[in-house]
Amino acid sequence: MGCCCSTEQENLSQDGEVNERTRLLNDPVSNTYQVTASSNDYGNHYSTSATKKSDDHSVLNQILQHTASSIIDVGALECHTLEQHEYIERVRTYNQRVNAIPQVKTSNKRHHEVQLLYDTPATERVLSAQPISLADFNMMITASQKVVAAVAQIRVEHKEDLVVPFGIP
Amino acid sequence: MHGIGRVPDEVGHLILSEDGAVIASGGELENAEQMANTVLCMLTRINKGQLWPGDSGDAFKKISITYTDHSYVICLSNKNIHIVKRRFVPHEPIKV
Repeated sequence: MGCCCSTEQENLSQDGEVNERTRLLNDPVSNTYQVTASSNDYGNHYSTSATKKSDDHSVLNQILQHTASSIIDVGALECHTLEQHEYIERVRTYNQRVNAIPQVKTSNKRHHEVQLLYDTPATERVLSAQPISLADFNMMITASQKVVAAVAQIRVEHKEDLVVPFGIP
Repeated sequence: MHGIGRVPDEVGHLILSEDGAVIASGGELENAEQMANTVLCMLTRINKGQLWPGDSGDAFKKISITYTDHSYVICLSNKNIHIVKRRFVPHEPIKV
């Protein structure tokens, strides 16, 4: 991307050689402005637009280039579509990769989940259902308390000696 | 998606995906990831056969974990695990 009017060119034209770039008016303000902002295409263009028509073209070309380089031409990419055999090849590769992943973990989880709960569409109705009655709740509490008490009372009653002499005459 | 107020006595809700990721949450169960893990462990580690002897029983529609003042109700819907925490307000039968 070329600079439409670099400072070099400006200096040349102002050195006395009369050409199409020579300024009609000697303008030091514009000159210093150009030095400080020489990289700014638009500034350059603005400062010299009075004299150059071809600069307009080059700036326009630059804008065109900018635009063209930032556009992704989808139509042009279309020609890179996969060939049929390439496509099949990829399908095979991906399938192999997917099959290579051990499925034990996920299938196990799902298996257990589906076993314990079944999928119900009426979520709200199920969740909003009446809780168990206090009588049932109390019955479960007392029953489990009894079970806990019973388990706590399990003792080993030894009726015979733990060490028994074998075959000693 | 349901929120606070749709389920009576609801104080919090949690919706998990099948692998335990929190999809939505609110109320007292907002971002309750610990709770999510606990429920997921419960659902994945318990085998139906352990709870339901024999081969006759279907899967459960819901699981309720009831404490004296609150309860958690868990159900599966559209492959998502729905958990609702409700105040436990026991319903008394009307005696005539």
